[in-house]
Amino acid sequence: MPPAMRSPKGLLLLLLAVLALAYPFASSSGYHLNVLTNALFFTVLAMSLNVIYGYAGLLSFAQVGFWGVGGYVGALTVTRLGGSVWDGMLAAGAVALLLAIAISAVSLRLSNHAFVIVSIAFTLLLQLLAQEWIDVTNGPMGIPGLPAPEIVLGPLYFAFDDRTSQYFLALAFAAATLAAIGLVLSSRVGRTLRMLKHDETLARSLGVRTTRWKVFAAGFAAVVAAMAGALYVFYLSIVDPTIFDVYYTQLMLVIVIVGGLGSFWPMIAAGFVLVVLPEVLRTSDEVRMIYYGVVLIAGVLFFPRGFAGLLAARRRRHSSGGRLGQPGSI
Amino acid sequence: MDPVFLGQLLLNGIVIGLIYGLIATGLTLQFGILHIVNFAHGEVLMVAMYAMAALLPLFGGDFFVAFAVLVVLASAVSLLAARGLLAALATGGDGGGIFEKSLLLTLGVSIVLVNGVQQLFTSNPQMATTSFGYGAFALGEIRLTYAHALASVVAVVTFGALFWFLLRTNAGRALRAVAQNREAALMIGLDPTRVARRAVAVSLVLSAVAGAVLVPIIVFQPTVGQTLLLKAFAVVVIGGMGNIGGAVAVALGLGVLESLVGGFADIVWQNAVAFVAMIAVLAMRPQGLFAAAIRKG
Amino acid sequence: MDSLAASDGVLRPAAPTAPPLLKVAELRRSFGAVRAVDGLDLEVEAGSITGMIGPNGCGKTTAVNCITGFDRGCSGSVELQGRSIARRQPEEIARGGVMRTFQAIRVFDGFSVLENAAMGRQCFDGLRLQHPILRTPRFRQVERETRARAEALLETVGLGAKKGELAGSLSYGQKKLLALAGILMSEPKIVILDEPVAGVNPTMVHEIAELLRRLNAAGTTFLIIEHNIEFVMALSDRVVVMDRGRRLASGTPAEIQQDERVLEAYLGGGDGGL
Repeated sequence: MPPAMRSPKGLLLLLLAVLALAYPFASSSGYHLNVLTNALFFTVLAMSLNVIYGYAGLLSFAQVGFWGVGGYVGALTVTRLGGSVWDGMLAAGAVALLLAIAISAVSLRLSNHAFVIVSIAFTLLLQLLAQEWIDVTNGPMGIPGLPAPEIVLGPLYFAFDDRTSQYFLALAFAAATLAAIGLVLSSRVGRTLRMLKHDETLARSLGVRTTRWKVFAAGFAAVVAAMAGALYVFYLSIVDPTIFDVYYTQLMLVIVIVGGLGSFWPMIAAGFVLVVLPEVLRTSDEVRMIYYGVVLIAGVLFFPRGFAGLLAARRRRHSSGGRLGQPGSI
Repeated sequence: MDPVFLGQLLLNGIVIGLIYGLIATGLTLQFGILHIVNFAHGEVLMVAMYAMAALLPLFGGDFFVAFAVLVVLASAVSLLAARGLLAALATGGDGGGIFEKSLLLTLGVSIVLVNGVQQLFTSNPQMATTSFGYGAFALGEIRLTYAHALASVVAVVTFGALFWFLLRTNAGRALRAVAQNREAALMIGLDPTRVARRAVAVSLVLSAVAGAVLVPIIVFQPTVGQTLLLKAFAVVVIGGMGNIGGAVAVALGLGVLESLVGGFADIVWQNAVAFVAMIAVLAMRPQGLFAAAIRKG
Repeated sequence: MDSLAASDGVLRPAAPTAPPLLKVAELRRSFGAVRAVDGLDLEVEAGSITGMIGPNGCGKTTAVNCITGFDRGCSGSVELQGRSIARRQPEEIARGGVMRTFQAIRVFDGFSVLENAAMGRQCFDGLRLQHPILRTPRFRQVERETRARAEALLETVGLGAKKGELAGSLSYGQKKLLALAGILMSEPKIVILDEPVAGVNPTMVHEIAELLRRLNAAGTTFLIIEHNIEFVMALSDRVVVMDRGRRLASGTPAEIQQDERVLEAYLGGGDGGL
């Protein structure tokens, strides 16, 4: 359990959970539910980038690639192999894990910079494949008509085929995924990843097998992004090459940087704010992208530690000594 | 095989290769001097194309006058932009080194420019009319339009000037010194920031020049820079990051190869050539064909 | 204290016939035309404090980087207890029990002092990934032990009162002590200190000397690379003098102080007197 789950944050969390569960009964707007469902998916996606970039310090442009791979593998598992949506998600995670290990193990032999370059090339190549490998991907037309996820347990049958049930499915997925990531990152595994980011040489001098940990971070992040991507395309009921759009990369980066690299709750908050706010402002796609671009630039320049950094600075002003060093945090 | 067809493909390939070269040399120059990757490099080209399209009617479609004005404008803007980029890279922190920061910042700039231009001019394809229209030289049965010929001449002259600058002038020598060994360059009294500013400015002008000569050749949209940047990026990786000679050679090779593939194979392979080559190089010779420039760390 | 620093049974005094704990032979490293390390031989006996001195630029730090695997371009042999560790990755060498500090001091600034100390232990407690993630009973047990050990070691180095503070808020000298405490957490076979008292005030130099003496008495083997000759001479069982990338002389401090070649090198090099 992440340390933040003890009260009063625990109470706040409980309140949020109640709100999230009650919302669909209070509002009948499909549009609102759609926005919230998107926010859930994109927050998970951004958290996957946070694992590799925010924690381990490896800037990756491959996350959108894994998200798209997840989408295509998930869709193909169902349409070509006759598997269920859940099989599709598992297959997506497995394929992404193998790809992530391959590209990170090869590029990290060289340097962290090489990893970044390879991550860019990887995504470009996948985008190209999605567009041009028409036998498999159906090209720019994509694969439409994907079925709704369903649960069959003996006589029990339930299909997630309307906005409300899909919202709850996304909510369950996001909660489970974020909780799992929180469990890992708040343990000393997260600390080890942060050691790599802060001082790789020092970490190695203490015996940390840094390359293995980077590959671990890349694999973990890839599995999360791919499973989210797989579920997302069944929500959209179509997968096409726009799943690799730079829009997602931009969104992920903005959320992670505004929330704070290597933060947990602030990043989740940023995910919701940054997805919901443009909807509230009802901007055109172009204007929204301009906002994100400006926020990205401003974030990198003026708030490199994001919202979490501002919070930490505030905490330090109000009380000396952070929560690091308290029992249970070694 | 039809020799005319082959000749035509080769000629087209060389022209497009020269233009790739203009974009790729700037990209690789920035990496070599500063160890940065500029995601907005293609948008410089795109903005230059829109600027050129706006300038042409002002001068009655006279390409040469418009081109001269554009180069002057681009130089001024590039100097300012270089100054801004370097100042930006020097502020803030935490997200990793200057390399990571350059990627994030220029990605932001790129997206603002693409969507800004889209907002202003829509994403409808644009065309510009120039004084020499669709006229062409005929070399036997092989045709070379005036626009293509002009682009080639400009590119060759620009490369000549670039290599003369790098090899024969003090400023160029300083630039190469900083690229090879920053610490040593500091010790002999060079100012790396000034050198870097010059390098960035020069590379941005190169991209603008590429945009200008492309105006009479292709129909363009706000995303034109992104497509071309991806090719240039592949060229830079294949040629060895930071290696200017390598970038020019690979750009020419890629242009010709793409043209041949487009002529003889399924058209989808044309776009794949660059990436397949890049992946192959990354897998087998990750330092690039011509250099060992990616340093550990 | 004894239980904290005792290394696995290799206690001093070493029998004269026993092979040295660390044996370096023919170590070489060039940067272009410059031969930074040029055929260095070096032995460190188990349980000893071995000092290595030499004028500026004689290749001391390069030698440490070669021995600990951080410099990948070295040749020659490095043996730990008779087994070769040459050309292994630095993290594997550390796991083998050869731990080092850095000349330019390194700690994890954003973590607490206690956490920094605990980090020195985490690769050595044998826990697999699932234990910390799932907070298994075994993990909790190990964590309690690590914490107790870290607190005891921080007391030993004099940072007990600072354990809750951020490592970044420590003074330069305190960071050096913290780095040392972190290394000792894993009960290394040998600790290599790269300039432990450079830039440290005289009072603290004295304290550090005392500390190292106590740790050594409890069984820790040290190889100390240092500029401060007085410090090395007072502390070491054996001293190795390096000059131009190789061993110029070695012996007890008394022998070294009599050695003509050493006097010459130092007087010639103008790097402080003996």
